[in-house]
Amino acid sequence: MQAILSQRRFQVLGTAWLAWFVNYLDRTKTAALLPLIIVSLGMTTKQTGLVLFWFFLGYASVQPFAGFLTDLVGPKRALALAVGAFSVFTWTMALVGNWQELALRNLLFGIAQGFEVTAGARLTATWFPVATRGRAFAFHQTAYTIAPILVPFVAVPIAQATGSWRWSFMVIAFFGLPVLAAIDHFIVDRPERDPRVTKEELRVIFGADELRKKRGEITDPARAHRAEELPPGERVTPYSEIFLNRNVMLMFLASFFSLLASWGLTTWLPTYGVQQLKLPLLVAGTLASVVYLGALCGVVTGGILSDTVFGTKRTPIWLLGGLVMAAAILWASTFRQGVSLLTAYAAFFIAGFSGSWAPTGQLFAPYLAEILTPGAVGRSLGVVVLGGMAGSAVAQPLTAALVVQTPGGPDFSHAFEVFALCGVLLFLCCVGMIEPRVRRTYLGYLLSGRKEGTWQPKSIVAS
Amino acid sequence: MAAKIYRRLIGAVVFLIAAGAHGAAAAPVRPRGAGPADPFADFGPLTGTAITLDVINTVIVIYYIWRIWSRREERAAG
Repeated sequence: MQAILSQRRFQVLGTAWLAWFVNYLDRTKTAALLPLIIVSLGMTTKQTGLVLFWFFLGYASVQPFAGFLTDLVGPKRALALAVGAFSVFTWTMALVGNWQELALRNLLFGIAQGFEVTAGARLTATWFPVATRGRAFAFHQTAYTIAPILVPFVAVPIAQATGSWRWSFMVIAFFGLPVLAAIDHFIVDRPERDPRVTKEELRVIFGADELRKKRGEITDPARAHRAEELPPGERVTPYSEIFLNRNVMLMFLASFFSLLASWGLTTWLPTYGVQQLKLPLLVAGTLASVVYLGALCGVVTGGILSDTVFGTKRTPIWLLGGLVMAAAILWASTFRQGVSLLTAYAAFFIAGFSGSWAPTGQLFAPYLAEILTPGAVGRSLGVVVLGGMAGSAVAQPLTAALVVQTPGGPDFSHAFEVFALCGVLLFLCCVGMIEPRVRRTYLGYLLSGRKEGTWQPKSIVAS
Repeated sequence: MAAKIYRRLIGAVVFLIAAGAHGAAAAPVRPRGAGPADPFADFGPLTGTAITLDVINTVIVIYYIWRIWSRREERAAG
């Protein structure tokens, strides 16, 4: 254990994990405290929906810029800016007096939080070799599943002990400070620029051959003209290859469908549990927790399977995830009042597990680093997350419109069928993606009797 | 005479208690943790503490961002 902790790449990963964890703790605490905020500010359901929508709007709109900024100034600075900004906006939210002020500050909070994911993803892609990148990024992604499970036990007791939800915001605003100290101490943008990294570790990350050949200083792969101008682990990747890229476009679409289903499901599950399954509120609330528990298990196993069983191939995990998620949610759409709780838990656990096997759930940083180059992960991921956030924003009003009022109460079946359809569409998007490890689509590889294809990055073909 | 005054006094006290209870019942019940909409009324006497904490938080954030942004990473000797 000591040997692992002393290696720089694990220290960088641990810090990126901490930043992602506090990011999610901070953003999900608003949802956990929402019943108190609604009473305190006298908000209607429509106003509450608008407050939530403005967060997603801020988060989504900033993604393309966040990617550029990360690649331009480096992930360390982008990460520090994001953590610092959302720490400050968190306490400013404690001082709101009406829903309009809360919506505006939620927009600014969403913008601040939006800069974090591209920075964390790029650090993992740059610091880990291909062989262990999937597992490393899987560990990074556990943060977004653990934080929502823990947040009710952090935010709600503070509010109840102090008598005001505002103190939860005040206290959680301070969680960002140790993260900033950790970023300052542990993070360096690139391994070869770190004076504390050993030569042995550099060889593990890049390989001896790559280290010997490349000693360039241009860190932006879009600005370099020759491979020798770049640092180890990078290749020349012009803007056209980053943005006019079929795989990035398919990831954008897959992310849209994936997060539409995931956020639609988790946001509405407690309401579904109470209104359709007639469960007590507390039990209905646990349905969403089961989804997150499934996602936690899914993120870990997906990364391990991708690196080991699938030999660092990424798309097979997403192909399986889309289909299994569709099947699990379709199964759940048949549930009516009186369904066994164990059956409901099983279906939603599988939905959460397989839902995390998606291009916004995991493996996106390794995939983009391998289909493009680690130095272009920020910009390309900005495009992908933009698609996902658009899906998240659409999910809320779409789900509300799909709930049918029947004499027996609201019926969520149609909404669940649309979520299942999203799983199938996500699968179809992933069918068209190139698997860089086998130089063709993964299904093409299987159907051809495991023959590798001829795909190559455009820049390599041109040179 | 005194008994009559006592009865009226007791009646008035009972009326006041009943009126107070009715008013309390008519007011919306706030769950613990949902204070008033005005943040300064909500923080009450701890408003100064809250603002001091905000200032401390912001100063530390600015210090770290300045420290991190002002450093330039050089290529390691190795």
